[in-house]
Amino acid sequence: MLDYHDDAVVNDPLFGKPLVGKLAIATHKTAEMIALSEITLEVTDRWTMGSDLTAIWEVTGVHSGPYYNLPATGRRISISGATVVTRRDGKITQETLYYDADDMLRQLSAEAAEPLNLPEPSEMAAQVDPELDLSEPAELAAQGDADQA
Amino acid sequence: MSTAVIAASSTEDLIAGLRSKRLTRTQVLAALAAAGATAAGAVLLVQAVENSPGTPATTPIVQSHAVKSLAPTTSQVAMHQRHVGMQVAGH
Repeated sequence: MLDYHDDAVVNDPLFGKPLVGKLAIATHKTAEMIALSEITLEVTDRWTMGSDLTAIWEVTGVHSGPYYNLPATGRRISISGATVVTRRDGKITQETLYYDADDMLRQLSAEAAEPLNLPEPSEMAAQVDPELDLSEPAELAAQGDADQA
Repeated sequence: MSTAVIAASSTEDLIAGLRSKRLTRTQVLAALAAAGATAAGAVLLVQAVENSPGTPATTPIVQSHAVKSLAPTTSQVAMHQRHVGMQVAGH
């Protein structure tokens, strides 16, 4: 989460509304990490235009953990798409994902499974364990400062 | 039809143009190629955009600060910790 501004916005087609803020984004990324193991990410192309960077990617993994209310299926899944990232001062201010969310849900859903029940984006931060420390480790923060210098 | 490559300030501008039908697929592909995308990469982006329902950016929802309002049992992080703990325990 070190790459994101505190007020960064992530637009994910899975949600009807943008995820705003580092905590909300961290919650969703954690849900993805819970759901998938043996993850591979291949970036097949990338380019910059103006202030944004675009990456074309394919992710594969095994659905070995729950994804929100969807139980693990043990299936290997594959999703391809694109991400457009805008940075300010070296950190991400906006990230927009383009992929077929319906196809992803089909792959993640067992037969007769209940529909995906996502939390409201505004409640995402509340999903984070209040004891969880999301601050940057001092050595990484110092490294980031050095990179930007 | 003009074959001139249109000028765009960002990939997001091109995507917005494609979605609003101000720009054609061909125009967007040409502009992406001019920006350094491979032909395959440009086509994959356009396909991903066409397959993606999109997120309305007009009413962003700001994160809640009521972090302690939910019981820890609903925490995804806590679920993850339990899941990892069970794996370590051999369940």
